[in-house]
Amino acid sequence: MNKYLGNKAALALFLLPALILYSVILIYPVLQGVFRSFYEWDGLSTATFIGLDNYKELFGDPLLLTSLKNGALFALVLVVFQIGLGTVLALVCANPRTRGRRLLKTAYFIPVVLSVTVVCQLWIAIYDPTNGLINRLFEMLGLSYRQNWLSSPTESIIAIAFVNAWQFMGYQFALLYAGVKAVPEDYFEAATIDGCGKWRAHWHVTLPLMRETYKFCFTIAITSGIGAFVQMLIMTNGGPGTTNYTMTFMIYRYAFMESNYGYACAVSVLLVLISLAATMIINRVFDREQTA
Amino acid sequence: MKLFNNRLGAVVIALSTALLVSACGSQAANDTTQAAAEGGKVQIKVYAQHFDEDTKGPFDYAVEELKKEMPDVEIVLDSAVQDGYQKLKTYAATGNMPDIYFTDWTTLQTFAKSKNVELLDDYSATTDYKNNLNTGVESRLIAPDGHVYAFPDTGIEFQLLYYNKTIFDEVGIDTPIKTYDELIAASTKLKEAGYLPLSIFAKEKWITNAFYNGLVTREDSQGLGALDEPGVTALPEAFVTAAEQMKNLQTAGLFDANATNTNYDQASSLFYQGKAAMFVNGQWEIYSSTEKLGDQVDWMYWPAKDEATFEQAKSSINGAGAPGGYAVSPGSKNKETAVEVAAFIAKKSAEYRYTKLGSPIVTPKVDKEIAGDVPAMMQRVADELLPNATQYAKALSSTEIQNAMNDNTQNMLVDGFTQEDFIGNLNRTLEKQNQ
Amino acid sequence: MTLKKLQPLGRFILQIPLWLYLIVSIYPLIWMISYSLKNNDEIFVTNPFGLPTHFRFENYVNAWTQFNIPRYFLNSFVVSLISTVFILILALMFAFAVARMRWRFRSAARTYMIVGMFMPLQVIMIPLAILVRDFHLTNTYGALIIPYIALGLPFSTMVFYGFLMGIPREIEEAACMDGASIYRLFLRIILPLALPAIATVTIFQFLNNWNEFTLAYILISDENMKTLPLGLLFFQGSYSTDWGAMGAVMTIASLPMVLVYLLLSEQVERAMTVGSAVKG
Repeated sequence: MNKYLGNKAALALFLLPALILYSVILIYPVLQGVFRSFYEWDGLSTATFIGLDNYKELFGDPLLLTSLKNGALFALVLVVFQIGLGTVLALVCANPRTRGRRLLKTAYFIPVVLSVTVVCQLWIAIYDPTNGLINRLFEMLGLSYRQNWLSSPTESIIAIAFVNAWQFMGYQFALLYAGVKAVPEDYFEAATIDGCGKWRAHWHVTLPLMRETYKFCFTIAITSGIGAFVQMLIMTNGGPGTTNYTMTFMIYRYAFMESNYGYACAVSVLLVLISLAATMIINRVFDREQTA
Repeated sequence: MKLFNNRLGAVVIALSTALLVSACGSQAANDTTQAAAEGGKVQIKVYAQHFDEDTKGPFDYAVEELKKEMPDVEIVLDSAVQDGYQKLKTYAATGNMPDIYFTDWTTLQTFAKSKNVELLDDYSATTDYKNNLNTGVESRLIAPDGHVYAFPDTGIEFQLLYYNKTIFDEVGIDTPIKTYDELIAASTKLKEAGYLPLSIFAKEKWITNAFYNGLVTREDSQGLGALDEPGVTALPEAFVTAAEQMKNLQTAGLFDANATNTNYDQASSLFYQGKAAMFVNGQWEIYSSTEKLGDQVDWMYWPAKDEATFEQAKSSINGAGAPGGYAVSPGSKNKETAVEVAAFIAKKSAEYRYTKLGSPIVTPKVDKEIAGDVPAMMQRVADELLPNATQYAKALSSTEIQNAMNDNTQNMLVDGFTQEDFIGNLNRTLEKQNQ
Repeated sequence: MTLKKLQPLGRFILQIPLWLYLIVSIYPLIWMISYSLKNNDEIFVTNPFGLPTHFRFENYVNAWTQFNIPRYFLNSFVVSLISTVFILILALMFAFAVARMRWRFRSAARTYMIVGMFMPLQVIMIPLAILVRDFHLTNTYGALIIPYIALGLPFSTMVFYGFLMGIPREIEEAACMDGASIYRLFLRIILPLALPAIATVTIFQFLNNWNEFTLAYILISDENMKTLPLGLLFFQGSYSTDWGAMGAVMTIASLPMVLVYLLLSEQVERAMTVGSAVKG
C-alpha cells in the first residue's frame, strides 16, 4: 500500500506542474519582497541595505497599532457573521423538509456574484446619516439612535467589516453546505433516533464531522479579515484620517503614495507571518478537539 | 464515468490549443502594427490623460496641430487614468517607458532619482519655453532644485470659495464674507434656515488640505510650502491659528456631519440643487457651476482673522505651483524629437485651454484671442485676482508631510478630533522629516 | 389533533427569517439594475433606494459606445475560462498528492502552498510585471492567465484538500487490490467523487477571475486585450464620475455571472447528492 501511494513518478506528475508555476509566479515575487524589506528602496532606483531598520521603524509606527486593531475587529465580525449565520443557513437548507430550499440557496449566493464596487456603493447609501436606510429605520421606530456610521472612528470599521461579512456570507455558506451534504445522512438519523433533538444531533454529530470544512472557513475568514483592503478603499478611503487603516492599506500607502517600497515590503512580511500564525493556530485548535 | 473523462480530456486539449493560438495570434498582430509604422515616420509613444472632455480636447487638438508642424512624427497614445501614476511606475520598473509621459511632481522626484526622466535644462525647446511664460508661474516649469523635468500646460491652479447669491440674500448674509467670525455667524444663520452652510467632498483628502491651506495663506502667504524647510520641527504660529479656526468652523456646523464620506458628485449636487449655500473647489469649477447656477453663483476670497488681514491677504493665492506636465524618458530612441514634441504638445494644449475653453490659467503665454464666452466668474479672476496676485503659495515637496496633512485635515471635520490632536500629529511628522 | 395542525404553522413562522434574508440577498441585484438606469442626482440625492422613476437607457447606450463591450467581454470570458480550467487541473492533482499519497514532505508542501495566499498583491505586482515581461507575455492573454492560475492555486488546493481528506481510506485499498494504477484511481474514482468540490471551486475561481481588476489594469495596455472590469475606468472623469453608466457596465458584467451560477449550482446540487450516496 505504501509503495502504491508512494509512486515517485506519479507524485512528480501530480505535484510538479502546480509547484513550478506557483513557485515561479508567486513565491519568487514573495521572496523578492522579503529580500527588499531589508533595503531602503523607492521601487525604482538603487536600493541601500539597511538591515532591520524598516522593521524597527515598523514597530514604532502608530499606523501599525491602528491596523492590527482594525484587522482583529474585521476578522471577528467575519467569523461571527459568516460562519455563524452560514452554519445555521447551511443546516436549514440541507434539511429536506425546508420548503423552497433551492431558491433560498441560490439567493444567498447572489451578493457574492456582484462586484465589490456595486455592493460598497449600496452600503454607502444605506449608511448615509440623513437619507440612509438604517437611520431612517431608527427614525421610524421612534429611536433617536442615529449614527454617523462611516465617519465615526470606532463604528466605521465594524460597519465596513459587516459589508464584507454580508457580501461573502454566501461563499462560506456554499462551503458549509457542501460540508453538511458530505456528512452521510444515516449518522444524523441514528442520532435523532437515539433521542437527540435536531439541533443537538447537529451539534454532536454533523458539526464535528465537518472539521476540515471549518478549519478552512475559519482560515479564510480570519486571514481575509487581517488582510482586508478593498472595502476600506472604496467606502472611506481609509479615513477619516487614518482611522480605517489595515495592514494592506499601510502597504498601499507606503508603496504607492510615498514610494517607500522597502518599508511596504517589511509590512507585508509581517502580514504574511501573522496570517500564517493564525492558520497554524486554527489547525492546532481543531486538531486538539479531534483528539480530545 | 468513461464518457465524462473523455469529454473532459477533449475540453482540456481544445482549451490549451485555444490558449496557444490566441497567444500566438496576438503576437502576430503586434508584429504587423510595428511593421506598418516603419514608413519613414518617427513613432512617439505618449502616455497622457485622455478620458473626458477636459483631457481629450486639449490633447487631441495638440496632436492635430503637431501633424501640420511635424508631419514625420506619428503619435501613439496610451491613455492614462487617475491612478496616482501607479501604472507609469510599473512601466518604469519594467523598463517599458513611453517616450513622453504626463505626470506630477511627486512622481517626477522618484523618477529623477531613478533616472527615468530626462533633464531638459539644456534643450533649446526649454529655453524657448522659459522665455514665453505667463507671470508668476516659473515654479510650474523650474523645480525647487533648479532643474527642468517637464513642460507644463495648465497654470497654477487654486481653490476658491463659491457661494449661492440667492441663498445668501434670502437668509440675509452680507457679502463678501471677510472674516472668520463672519463666516461662523453666516454658517449659524444658514443652518437655522435649513441649509447646509458649505458642502465639501472631504472623502478626497486633498480638498480638506486645500481648505486648511486657504486659512493658512491668510497668515503666511507661503502656505504649506513653509513646512518644507529643514529645522521646522513644529507647526509655526500661522498653522496653529488656522487649525483653531478650522476646528471652530467645524464645531459651528459649517460642514456636513457626513462630509468625510461625501464624494465630488454628491457635494456638487448639494450645491447645484440649492441645498448647500457654499462650495469649495478649484477655479476649474467655475465652468460647471456657471452652467448649473448661472449668475446665482459667485466666488469670494478666503476669510481671515480680521478685515485688515483680509485686505492684505487678498493678493495671496491659495494655490501652489509645482513642476509637472509632459516629461521625456531618457531611454527614448528618438529623444531629441521627443523633447520637441513634448514642448509642442504642452504649448498647444495650453493654447486650446485658452482659446477654446476660455481658461487664463495656463503656463505658456498664448498670443491668440481668449475664447469669446468667458464666464463672468472667470472674467473676475482674470481682471481682479490674477493681476493683483503677488504671491502664490509654495508647493510642499515632501510626500510624508503632505500625506500627514491630508490625513489630519480630513480628521478635523470629525467630532472628537481636536486641534491639539492635529498639532500633536503634525509636530511628530515634522520632527521626523525635518530634523 | 390541534398540536398536529399547529406544527406546519410553527414551521412556517420559523421559516420567516429565511425568507427575509432571501430578500436582503436579492435586493442588491435589483438595486444594481435600477442604479444603472438613474443619473447621479437620483443615485445620490433624490432617489437612492427606489426603482427609477424615469428609465435612463442612455446609460447603456453610453456604456456601449464608450468602449468595445463585446471585445472586452470575450477577453474576460477567455481569460476566466482558461485560467479556471488550469486551476482545477493543477490544484486537484496537487491536493490529491498531498491528501492521499504517502511521502515525507506532505505537510510542508501544504504550508508552502498557503503562503502565497497571504502576500498582498500590492507588493508582488512589480516583480510580477517584470516576470510577465521576461516571459514575453506582455499584452497577451497569458499575461493574465498565468498569474491568475498561480493566484488561484492556494485557495483551490485548500478546498480540494479538505474535501479529499473526507473520503474513506478504504477506497485506495480497494483500488490497489483491483490492480488499478494510481492514475486510474485518480481519474476514475477520485475525480468523479470530487465533482461537488470541483463545481464549487469552478464557481469561486471563475468569479474571482471575472471580477479581477488590479492585475488586469497594471499588466494590460493593449486595447484588444482588456477585460470587462477595466471598462469601468471609462466613466471616471477628472472631477466627476458617471455613476449610472458604471452601473450599466457592472450590470452587463454581473448578469451573466448570475446565470452561470444558477446553471452551475444545479449541477453542484446533483453532484453532491450523487457524491454523498457513493460515500455513504
